[in-house]
Amino acid sequence: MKPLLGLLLSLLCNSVCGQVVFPAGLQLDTLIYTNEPFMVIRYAAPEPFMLSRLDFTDDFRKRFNYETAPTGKKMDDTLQRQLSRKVCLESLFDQTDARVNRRMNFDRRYFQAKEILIDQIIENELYLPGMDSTLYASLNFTADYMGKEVSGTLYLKKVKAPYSFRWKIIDASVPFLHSQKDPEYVKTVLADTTLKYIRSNAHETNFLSLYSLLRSGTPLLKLTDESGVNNRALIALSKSIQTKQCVLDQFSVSIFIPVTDNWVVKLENFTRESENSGWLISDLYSELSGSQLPHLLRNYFPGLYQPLKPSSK
Amino acid sequence: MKNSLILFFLLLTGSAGFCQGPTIIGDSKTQADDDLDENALKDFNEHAKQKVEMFQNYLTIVADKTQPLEKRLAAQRQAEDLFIKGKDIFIEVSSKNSAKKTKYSVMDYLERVFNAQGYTQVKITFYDTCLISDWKKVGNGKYESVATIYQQFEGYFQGKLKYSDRTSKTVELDLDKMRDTNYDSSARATVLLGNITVEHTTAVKVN
Repeated sequence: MKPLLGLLLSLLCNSVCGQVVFPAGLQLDTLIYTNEPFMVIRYAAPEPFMLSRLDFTDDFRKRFNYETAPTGKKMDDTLQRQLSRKVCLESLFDQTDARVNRRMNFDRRYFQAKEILIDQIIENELYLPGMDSTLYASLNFTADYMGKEVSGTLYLKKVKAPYSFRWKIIDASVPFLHSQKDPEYVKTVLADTTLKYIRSNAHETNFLSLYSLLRSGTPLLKLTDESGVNNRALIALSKSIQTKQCVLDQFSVSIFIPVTDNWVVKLENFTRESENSGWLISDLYSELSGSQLPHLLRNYFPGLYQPLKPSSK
Repeated sequence: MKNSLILFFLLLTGSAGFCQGPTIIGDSKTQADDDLDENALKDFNEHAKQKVEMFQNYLTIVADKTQPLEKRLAAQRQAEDLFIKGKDIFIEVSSKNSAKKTKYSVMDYLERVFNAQGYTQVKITFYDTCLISDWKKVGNGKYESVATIYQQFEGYFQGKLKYSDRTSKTVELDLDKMRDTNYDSSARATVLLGNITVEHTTAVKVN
């Protein structure tokens, strides 16, 4: 009865004024909504988290270098008087990290290392140069390997190329594969001199370019640096991808940035809807922090676990 | 099946306006051999935002079954023209119900949006925040950047909310010279869209 009444009401109203007005509380059949547009577009002002989120690693660098505020605004003299560099630097850390929360899994060593790093950056007026020359990445992936879901990690380094930068694969951790030598395979891959590389564009942390290259049949081994062609884990992975035994699926990326010879910070992309989100520091590596850099990356930071030099000031 | 239908809508954003053809900006002084100065690159930020909005506009038309078929097909073609040609370009879709993200080619994606069913009404909120990262030089006269966009999607079936989420997406952007004889034979610069990826998808409460 109620739906029928609603329908009659809507027909009547539509024929008179084209507008439907219902008495409060009246349940109506959904059929009467036929004159509503299919597509309704609305516009809204950005929410604060959308402006303050560190969407790109460049955003991280600018806030680290005191060029932008945590609100996303460009720094000027007035803003710098209101907002210390320490506040900006602290906002670069993941604030949900239990290790810095006294009510959770507080880790005094990590907390103190964080404070020391911030103090050193301020005291020594440290700034990050263009990010491109000093980025390393670990790419955790899941894959279908002969019908089983497996996971592994690729390690990459950003290297300079004419006009731009590229990612080169430097190592891999693939526990589901047996590392192997295969000079014939390496020879075949190297015989093809077509230039293939993982683009490092502004969207440097997505690695869709890697996904596309592998999908189009490019051997993974062609995307490695010079030492990569002799890396047994990379040879095994490259072969298994080419023979379609292994199909890489989802990627999850971490970025490693050396701040000084003694400090490396790890960035992860926190995708929550909060002002503390985007590319934030999720770990610190130094003699003081207690965290261990992935062992396959340690050769690239020889001074990392050396005793700290006294501050210059 | 239901989930897949929901997925097709997840990239829909923008206004209901109907834009005509790709915009070409810049003048004949913009040569491929030249670097673009900071001001020129800032101009291209605006151009890039327009391109992203155009794509969003076309998508709303492609998906809108109440629009004339010819208009929807034209919007589908024009949306395709906004993308880089000759490369494998992916558009990623997601759902708040799954951590998995699925990649489609541009053509497949548009086809799926065109044929999508499952809702009697779609409401999209477009946030006025298209963030463009710094342009990076990647070749002679070639630059790349990324835009970040936010959108809220609500899908209704016969007046009842069936699915809603808020997503953040990144759109790769290529800035390159383009010779377009429709305008004149001189080299002009334009922005084309590349891969579109989902950064995150969250549930939203709808009043």
